[in-house]
Amino acid sequence: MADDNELLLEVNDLRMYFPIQKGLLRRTTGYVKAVDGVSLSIKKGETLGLVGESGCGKTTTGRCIVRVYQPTGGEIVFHDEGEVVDINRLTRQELKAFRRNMQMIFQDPFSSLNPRMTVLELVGEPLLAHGIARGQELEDRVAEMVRAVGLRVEHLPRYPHSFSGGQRQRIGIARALVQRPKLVVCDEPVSALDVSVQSQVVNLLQDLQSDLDLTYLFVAHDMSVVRQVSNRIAVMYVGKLVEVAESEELLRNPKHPYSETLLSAVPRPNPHHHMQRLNLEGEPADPANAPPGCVFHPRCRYMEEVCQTDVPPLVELTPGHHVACHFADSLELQGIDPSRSPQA
Amino acid sequence: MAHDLILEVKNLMTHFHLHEGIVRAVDGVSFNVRRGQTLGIIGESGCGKSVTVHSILRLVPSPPGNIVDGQILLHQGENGSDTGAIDLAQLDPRGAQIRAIRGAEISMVFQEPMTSFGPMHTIGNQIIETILLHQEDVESSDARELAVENLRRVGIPRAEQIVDAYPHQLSGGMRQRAMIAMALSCTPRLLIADEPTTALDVTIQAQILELLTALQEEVGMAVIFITHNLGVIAEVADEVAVMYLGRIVEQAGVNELFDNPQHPYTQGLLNSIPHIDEEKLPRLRAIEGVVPDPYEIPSGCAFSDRCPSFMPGTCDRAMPELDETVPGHRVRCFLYSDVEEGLTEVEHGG
Repeated sequence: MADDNELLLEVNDLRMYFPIQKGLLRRTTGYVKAVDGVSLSIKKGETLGLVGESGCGKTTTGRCIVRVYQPTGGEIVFHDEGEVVDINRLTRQELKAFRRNMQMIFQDPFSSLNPRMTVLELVGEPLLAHGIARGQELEDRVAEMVRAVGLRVEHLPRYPHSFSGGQRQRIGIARALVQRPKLVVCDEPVSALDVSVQSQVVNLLQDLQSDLDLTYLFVAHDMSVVRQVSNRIAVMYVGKLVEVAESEELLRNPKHPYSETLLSAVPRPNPHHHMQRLNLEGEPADPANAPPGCVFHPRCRYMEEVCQTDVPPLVELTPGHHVACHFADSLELQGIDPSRSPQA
Repeated sequence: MAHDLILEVKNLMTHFHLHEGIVRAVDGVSFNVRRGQTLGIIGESGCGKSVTVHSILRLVPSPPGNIVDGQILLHQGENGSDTGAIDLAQLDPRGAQIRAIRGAEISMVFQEPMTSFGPMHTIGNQIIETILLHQEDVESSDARELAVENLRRVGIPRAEQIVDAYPHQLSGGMRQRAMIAMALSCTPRLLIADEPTTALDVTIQAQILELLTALQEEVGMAVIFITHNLGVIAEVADEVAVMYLGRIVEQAGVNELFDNPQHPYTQGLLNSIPHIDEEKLPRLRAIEGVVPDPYEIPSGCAFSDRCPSFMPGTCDRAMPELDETVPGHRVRCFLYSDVEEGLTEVEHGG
């Protein structure tokens, strides 16, 4: 791991609004505020986990950062060996050259690989596209990468259909890492995989991170997987961050009611576990029509009048622990407690 | 309590005859389901858990799928008066008899609530259709009232309006609730839930699991619950069967299975997942290898090529039997059964 405090990425007030168009003239009648004022930073060599339910904007945040989407507003500042680049301001040409610094690993290993390309072509394509290598050198680099992700050189001439889900995900990882990016956005990289294969891929991602000096933004909905890989965790709800903290701190000492419920909803592989589950009533708010005040207030058990009118800012409660809740310092919330677990 | 027995599956074998060869998707599965009880079936993709329950309802497409052996006995009669059993495996999958059972005595909740409702009809019409089809004494004028009541029972707000909604107008969680309402509309004796919460968010999943448990207590039906999630199974099941490549490799009560897992595959699964209530491990303890291709299943025990306790000369020669190690706990592994016996059986043409 590089210098502990060196920042790689800073995101300031990121906003991504998708227009809702209606009628023959495609008039814009409103906006889906998928990401609404997200600020976060990622240090070199660390993993930031981004969790939340479907539709909360976690994937959109990841896609904005690698600029698959053109964000509506905000800054995405990348620190590249002393140089400071605002990804959101790059021109197309600059962006193309810059893209080798940041890559994405996708959720679905079945739809994210072109079925008509061999493993060699799939993994070699980024090297060709960026003019990094060709010919024998390209094959050597692809072979090296393919071995690093746990596949064999004999696999190179094969097509994706002849691989299992876990192996395909390894191909996707090789394709993302072959050009030695600095930042990798992993978008639910294990949630489509079988249980016994998930842990293999989680371990692989952790090994590659230390071998290749990678920094991860790990987007996922599974709290226990996110905790396994992340140094810090950011919790997102309807386009906004509600809590950011060191991962163990967030799990043991959650300060936002939404984080508390999310933790309590994780199904425990332990039939003796009878923790009082905090059930959430209702469903997440519609990002096209978010409620006023705190976005979580319609489902919050601790809701008071101020929550219906005032948007709570994300403030630093204790060093490194940021929370967006009016009552963060007074609520007694329930986190996990490994000391009470029988096997701990 | 034999009168509580609702379903008995005996040595079920469902094979698929494909160009590449025969896929033995379900290869000798036996279990019992009792009134009020939840049997959890857990396994990875390709282990045959879905084919098993599709075989019960005779939903396996034929060709290529065929039930080649075994019995699926649905016991008849209420309140202990066993009036005999129907062998579902013998029924015509398109016949009137199985169609009278589907949706009435045995109903099913599928993983994908989006694709399991027809998109062209309202939720209400689809529930009403089920009610009118199976309950002859219900007048069509009352069926709508019943549909609304069923929707209300699964916690759908504004049920009088939602009954006229189309499936696409509902969220995933609401659609799954509506699916459950439809499945329960004829008070089945057995509900089969095939990964009913896998497509849902954790907070919605928690709601649905709680709903299913509450409804089961209220109605007293039996449930077969299929999932790959060990956390979900720990929460809902009374009895758990672990499947690997078409066979049950371990079966026990839920507490016994989690406290005292015996098959190396079950142990591997439990060890490989991150446990949120425990101290974080630096690395996950993954199971080596991948589930083999159905055409390249290793000889002997199907798990032998990935097993950390593999015993050469034993595990690669014969398939161990599913033997009881302690009362109520059965394991298919040579670590616990008499190796010599297993091998002699093989040599005698077994």
